[in-house]
Amino acid sequence: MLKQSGFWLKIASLFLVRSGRSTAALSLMVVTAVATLIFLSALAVGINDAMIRNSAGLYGGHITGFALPATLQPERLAVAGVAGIVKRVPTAGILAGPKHFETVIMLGIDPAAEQKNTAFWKKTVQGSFLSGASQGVFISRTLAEKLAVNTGDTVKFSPGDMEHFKPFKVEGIYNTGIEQLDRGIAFCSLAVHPCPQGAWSASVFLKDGVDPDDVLAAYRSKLPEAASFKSWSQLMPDLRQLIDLNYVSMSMVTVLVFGVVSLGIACAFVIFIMKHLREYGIMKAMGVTSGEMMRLIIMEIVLMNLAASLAGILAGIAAVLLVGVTGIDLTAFTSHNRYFAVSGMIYPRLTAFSLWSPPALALVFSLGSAIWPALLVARKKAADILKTG
Amino acid sequence: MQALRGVSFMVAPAAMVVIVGKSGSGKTTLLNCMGGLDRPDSGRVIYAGRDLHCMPQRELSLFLRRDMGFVFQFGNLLSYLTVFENIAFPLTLNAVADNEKKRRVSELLERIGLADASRALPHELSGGEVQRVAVARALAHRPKLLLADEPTASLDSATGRNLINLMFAMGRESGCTMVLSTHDTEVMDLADQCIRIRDGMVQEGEGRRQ
Repeated sequence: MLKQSGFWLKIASLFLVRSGRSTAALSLMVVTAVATLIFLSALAVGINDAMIRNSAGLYGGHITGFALPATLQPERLAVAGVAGIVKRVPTAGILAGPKHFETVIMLGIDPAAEQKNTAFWKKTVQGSFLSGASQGVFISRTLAEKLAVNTGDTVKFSPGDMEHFKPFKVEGIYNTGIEQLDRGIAFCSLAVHPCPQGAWSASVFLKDGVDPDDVLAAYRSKLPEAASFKSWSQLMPDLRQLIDLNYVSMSMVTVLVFGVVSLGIACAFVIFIMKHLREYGIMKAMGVTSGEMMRLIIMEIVLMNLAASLAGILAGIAAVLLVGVTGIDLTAFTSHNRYFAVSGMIYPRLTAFSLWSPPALALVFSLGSAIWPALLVARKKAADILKTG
Repeated sequence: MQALRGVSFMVAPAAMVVIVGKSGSGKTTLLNCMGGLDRPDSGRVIYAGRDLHCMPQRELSLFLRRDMGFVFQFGNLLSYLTVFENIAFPLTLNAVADNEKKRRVSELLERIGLADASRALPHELSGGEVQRVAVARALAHRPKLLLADEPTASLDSATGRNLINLMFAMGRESGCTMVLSTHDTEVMDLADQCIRIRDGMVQEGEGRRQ
């Protein structure tokens, strides 16, 4: 049985190799389809990555901890997979300009840690970001307009009692375009914050490819405050849905594209098999059974697909690696999108799914398209094939 | 329209039979029916006491690969196999051991004078060479019955006569029954039995050397 299978495998291989141009033309369709779909799939992953990178990297991190006790040291959050931790101490109060005042949350921050881990400081539109222990404040453009202040002006902050105001110089003004960050928040250095020892919030930034749920699980096992931590997908369910939608739509596009491509492949397969119909008839006349004939045709298709898919995978990987280095700048299409607040650069990324699904689809569609000609060959009488083939 | 009507004859084991008739007379259909490649609407083809067309398809295929050899008008070699691989094909189908297979194919290649062309592909051969390979392939697995459908049709008369001589000689050596269709009446001289066919019917006086 094994020897017979080896024989048919050899015959199928010789058939493909020595059919030269026909095999090459048919393979080219599969190679192109597989490579294109791998690239498209990697591009979809890259778009999702960019949205997560932008959303998490701008300010909140991949995991955010709220109302953490002052006794909890940030170092305790540094478990495996964590790239950086940003501590922020919020205090509600009044920020007063020369003529107007606003209720704000004054966030005491470590400017160096913010610059290392986040990107919102890059959204500075006027002046500069905070540095060291300067008695400065970093406010949004919206807040600056409401307070009617500019960089260099002095504002005063009172933590709620309207009596003990502390002066701050407006060092920088930012604009992220995101409502939650542009309204009701001001930043100052922790060193000059009115209540530096209060409850704090943490933004935890993860290394590439680390699942936030794994880090949350680690927190649950070691921190009593674990319930205070939420992942980006819990805090931004709209983004989670958008990413899932992107995957679903990409999968649908993949299937549809391959469905259309498979029509071409199916036609080519039918022509390919019909072109060699006479030879199948000769084999039948020599006593090849219908089962062996079906096995031979399926082996030919599987072998051709494996070879073509391998070439397609290599071409797809090459394209992804090439574009992955330079990236694709889609800023013109993303500049007003909050999920691309930092950068519109897309870097396609390969995943196991994007690598195996196109070749698997190619094989399924090819086998499907070969059923009719294979059955035709198996059922037709040798004499009829030799007469018409 | 019926291709064959009222055809009935017997062939003795190891006999050399020639079916003679013009183009369209039904020779190919008759050979196809005899070889189990085509199924007659009525009537039987009895081989060694068994009706070929009552056999299940798989059994018929196994019978063809074991007991039958075909030579077609234009050789009909498998285009993607070399001369050696074409001749070895029926041997592999019949699970002949590799050493024995190589020995037999080499012998046949010597016999047909194509030992040097064993690695050639069919398109690299002349028409006469293709037909010689087809004869070697048809006889490689030592069938009991060889059917040849106008094997010289695509050849000039000298090459055709050489091929017939080779085929008959090899057939006699292997002791197989041979049925050959042709429109060349000169071939009749070589046959043990001659069947004339016209408009799908066997003519009277069918036997020449019965």
